[in-house]
Amino acid sequence: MHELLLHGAVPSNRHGQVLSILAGIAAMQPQPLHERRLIYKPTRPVTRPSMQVGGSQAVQSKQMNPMQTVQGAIQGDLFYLHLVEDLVVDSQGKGDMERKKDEEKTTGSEMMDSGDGGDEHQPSLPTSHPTAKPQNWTLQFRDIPEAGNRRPVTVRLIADVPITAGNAEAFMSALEYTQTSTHHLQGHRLTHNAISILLFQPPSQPLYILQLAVRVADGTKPALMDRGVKELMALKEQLKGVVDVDVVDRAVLDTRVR
Amino acid sequence: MPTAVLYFLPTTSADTSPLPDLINRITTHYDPFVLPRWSLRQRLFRSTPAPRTSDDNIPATPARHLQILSLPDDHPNECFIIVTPSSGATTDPAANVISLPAGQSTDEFTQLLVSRLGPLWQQRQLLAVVDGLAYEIGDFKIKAGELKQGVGGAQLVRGVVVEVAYLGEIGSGHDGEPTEELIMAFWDELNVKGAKEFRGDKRKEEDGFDNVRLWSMALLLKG
Repeated sequence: MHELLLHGAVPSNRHGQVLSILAGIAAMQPQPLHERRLIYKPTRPVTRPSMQVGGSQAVQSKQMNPMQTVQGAIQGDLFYLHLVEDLVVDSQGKGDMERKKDEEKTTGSEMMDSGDGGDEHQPSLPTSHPTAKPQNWTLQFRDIPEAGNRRPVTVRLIADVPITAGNAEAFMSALEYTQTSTHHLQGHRLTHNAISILLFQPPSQPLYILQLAVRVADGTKPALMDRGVKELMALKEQLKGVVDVDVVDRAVLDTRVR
Repeated sequence: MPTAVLYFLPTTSADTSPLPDLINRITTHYDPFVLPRWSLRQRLFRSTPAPRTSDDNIPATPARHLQILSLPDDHPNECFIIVTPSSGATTDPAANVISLPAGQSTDEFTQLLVSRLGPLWQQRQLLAVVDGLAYEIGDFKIKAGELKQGVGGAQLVRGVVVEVAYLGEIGSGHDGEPTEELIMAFWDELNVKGAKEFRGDKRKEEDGFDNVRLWSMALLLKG
């Protein structure tokens, strides 16, 4: 699916004020956001076809190695992937996945009382297993934002794949991805109509990032995309004077491995 | 999950499928209780070989496979991703299966593989059993279905895949070995020739994915 985005920066000393204004607009209490993010990149080294810079007087050699043509076809960008664990635990000691399952009223006795959602090292079992401990891993993919985008918002392809069972970290190794770094993300989230609002402090940065995001199920439908853009622009207008949100440079959100 | 052994009967000639013969044997030898039909779907990807230098002394790494497997009768809400682990010794062989919610999430993951992870994985084939037959005979459950490759009119029947499961109480130990022998004896009685047998590893992982791993081995259709 696609995501439409606007970003803004909030200095630390204005964090509380901005959060209350957002809570007022969204008419809800900000929900805590606490994630552990593991960043993975493919183990395979990136290779790029050699590019000839400048003009050349040489006639193209007919003796090109046939393997090279095949490799040229299958080379493309390699991307980073994120494994995200939701560490938010509510007052009943249940993690986000468990709360979602409660809402769905799954049958069977797989709803176990887990003390805290933070026991992330234990591999989880399929939901039908009698002693399953629900885990909250999601595999996240974010494409580089679209180039030549004429909309006043950032547009990118995303995929969020919840992992219901299995050892997520070990699976990434089996997939031949290596973990490059890990960090915790803490902040708040709110929802205003179709917009998901996140206010968080990136690791080792002295300011907060405000992210406004709308998810569109089908990026090829212009009507849906336009509706998303309209909602974002309306919120941008409401936040004028409070926080300036805008399209961020594509290169900042580049997730390709170099 | 009950212990099971899988068998695969490859199609030997273009016109005949091994299925009618097998069903005939089952129904004449026993008086089976007919169970509802079953199905499965598998999408197979193969790892893209890493770009090679022209140095022939470096051996190519063996191809790895990624399967997206759906077993809707036993696991209606989940799909499984099974990866052949890389050959490095540090990878725990049990670490190669995860499950996702069936439906939209699985479609999203498939789309992601095809559209953005193409440099790493290439789609190879789509296999499915559509209207598989299933019978219960005493303590055994036998499922058989034609394994078709491709979509639409151009489907090719690769063969018949059979799962024989033992539903009774587990035998003496918890290692499941006596049960597997019971299953193999049951199969031998049917006197079916030419089947390739797939059994679980001696070491059962107890993570609930053992049957999934068994299916993934059988559906690779190697050799």
